[in-house]
Amino acid sequence: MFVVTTDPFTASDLAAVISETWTTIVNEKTFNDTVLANFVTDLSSFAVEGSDIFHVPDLFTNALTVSTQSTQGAEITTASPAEVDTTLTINTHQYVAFIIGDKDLVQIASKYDVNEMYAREARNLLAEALEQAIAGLWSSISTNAIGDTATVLSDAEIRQGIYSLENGKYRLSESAFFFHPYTYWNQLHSVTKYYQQYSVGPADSRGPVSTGNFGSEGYALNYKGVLYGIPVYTTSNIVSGLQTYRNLLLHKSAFGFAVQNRGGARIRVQAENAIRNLGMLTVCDIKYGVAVLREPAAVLLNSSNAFLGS
Amino acid sequence: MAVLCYSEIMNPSEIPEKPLYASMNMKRENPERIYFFEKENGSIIFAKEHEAHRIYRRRNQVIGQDKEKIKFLGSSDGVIFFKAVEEAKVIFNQKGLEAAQERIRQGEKEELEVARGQMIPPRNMDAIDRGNNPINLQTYGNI
Repeated sequence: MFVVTTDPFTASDLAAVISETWTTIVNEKTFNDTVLANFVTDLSSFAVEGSDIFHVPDLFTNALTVSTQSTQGAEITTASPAEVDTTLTINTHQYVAFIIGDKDLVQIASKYDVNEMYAREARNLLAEALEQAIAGLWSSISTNAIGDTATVLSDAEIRQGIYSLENGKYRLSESAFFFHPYTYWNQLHSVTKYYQQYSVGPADSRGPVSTGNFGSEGYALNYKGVLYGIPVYTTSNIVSGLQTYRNLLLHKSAFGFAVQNRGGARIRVQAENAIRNLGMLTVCDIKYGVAVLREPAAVLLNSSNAFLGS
Repeated sequence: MAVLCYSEIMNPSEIPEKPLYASMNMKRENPERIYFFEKENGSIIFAKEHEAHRIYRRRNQVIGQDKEKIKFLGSSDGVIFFKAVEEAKVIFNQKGLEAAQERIRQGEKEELEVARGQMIPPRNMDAIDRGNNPINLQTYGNI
């Protein structure tokens, strides 16, 4: 004989005794790997001992010229091209600051090092701010600007960019592409030439469809292999506007930056027990300047995000 | 071991350099305020507010030449361009890639004409809150 129950316990009836667990896993904010600041010219070592303005003598604007000795024994003509005094100024000081009150700090579960987690986030935010400032130098590129608001980036434009650098006598071995992930995944990977076996190589070679990149086996530090022998990096810090991405092909001398911090680190993280506020104050800061060092050594590769390649 | 290579199968002259089939990105983007500038060489550039603030304040340094003069032309809400892209999606299906691209380029020009003379400069983005909006550090209030 069955006993019929008409009023079993529900979860809400038992809410007072069902426990909840705060896991040790915390979903933290995600960031781009630093790619631009790791590639372009870093003048920070000159900033260690102070100064706000850094002079970089420019010998390329006015260069030496070749003369022909048309009459043997004649007096030679010497050249004296005027040097250009150029400067980079450290003019930006950015910071992220937060304070957590003593009461809250004591009561936060001991398994969470909240201060450390937010300090890490703040540090990464500032690293991205420097990346964005370097990527923002695109607006100073005039000599080699390719594509426009309606461009689906093509292989021809890639090669046109490479040609511009080589024609300017910049070493391709010291150059790199920086693409927005949209351009990389939605447009570059649709160029048939890049993934067909005839360009990938032997049938047992692993192409972009298998590896996701050009000749590299991994995604470490947003490195995506090589295109025409030139390293490819991706970062969403590439600037966009009117649905247009400002992808870059750079010789390492094209852009420069200098970071200046007491202690030498790029980003300084400081925390103190602020008695006046009864809390733990954490401040991360960075002082930097970015500049176009050699404008013709940069190529701007515009691409519209209105289009997908397929 | 014999290595199989497909290089002879396809005539190199038939190798496509552009995507074989481009399609429109149907994801709907929101209009964004846009700021137009004219460079010394006459070319027009545009930027979103955060970056436009750097250009407007002439923060970009260019070594090797005199600091480039950049003229602020004006700003607009980006709606005209947004509509042009939406129209281009229809045109793409009817007339193809080139016609759609032409509509987008036309949209950029129309947006510039709307922006011309609307001298609303980018806000000061030196201090921003968690939502990327500028704040006044003296009052901690929105500007």
